[in-house]
Amino acid sequence: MVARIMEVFLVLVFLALIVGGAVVYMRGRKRQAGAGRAPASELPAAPAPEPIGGVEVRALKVSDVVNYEGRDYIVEGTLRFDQGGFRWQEHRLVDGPDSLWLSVEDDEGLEVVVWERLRGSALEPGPGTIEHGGVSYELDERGRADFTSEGTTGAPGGGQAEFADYANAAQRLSFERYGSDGGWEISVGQAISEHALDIYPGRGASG
Amino acid sequence: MTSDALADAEATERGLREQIAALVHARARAAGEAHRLGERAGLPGAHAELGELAGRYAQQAGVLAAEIESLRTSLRAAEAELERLRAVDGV
Repeated sequence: MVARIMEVFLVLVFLALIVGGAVVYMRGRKRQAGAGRAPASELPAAPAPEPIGGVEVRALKVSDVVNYEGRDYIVEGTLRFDQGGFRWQEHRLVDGPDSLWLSVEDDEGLEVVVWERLRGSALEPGPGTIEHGGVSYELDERGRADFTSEGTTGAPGGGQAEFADYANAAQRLSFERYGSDGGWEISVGQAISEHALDIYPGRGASG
Repeated sequence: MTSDALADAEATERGLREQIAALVHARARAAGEAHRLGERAGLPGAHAELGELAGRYAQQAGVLAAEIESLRTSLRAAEAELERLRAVDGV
């Protein structure tokens, strides 16, 4: 009986030694790892974000120049939208006979999309999914927004626009209609990084 | 000292960007005139001088394009210097 008690006692002492050793070892490792580290208050502050590639894309305006994929486009027109206080812009970029649109939207993160107008398309916005060019686009948002137009946009100077936006990952499909009797302007787009753009500020109207 | 250098580098970079924008506008105008006069020169009975003027505008657009690329190279160097100074300033 006494031998049995001694055996249990020795097992308990052995386990206590193992646990105690492990605790001492882990504390030593923590102290070693923290030895070369400065307190958080001494860490260098991260630099403030700077626009890399020129002007902030949110401040783009008519007469600025945008370099995209090796071509210099002049901002010839800007549409500014306001949907109950939520604002975004669409800029018409022109290089000679070629043009494209650039939308800039800041909704829980900046989204920049390069758009090309579809000509002669019979597509119509509807609920759910739209197939175009082998891509299946899901309805993202549909609504109305007030807009103003600056420069050459092809739209009237201002009023209300109706829109329906569809998306498939970074690919976009958009319908826009200006005024009550206008037809749909249909565009396909690709979301891009703002850093894919180089902006050269022009001396035209300020945004 | 670093702040002064940073401000100078920012001004240099901004100046280069403004120059490029101005030249892109000038090149677009020259190319547009070259295209317009080239089309007019192709009309029946057009004066021969129109074609010559179109060629001069096209040449001017080419010179401006070369100047833009030269400035863009300078801009890349200025941008690198600016980012180097920002990094130093940040640390």
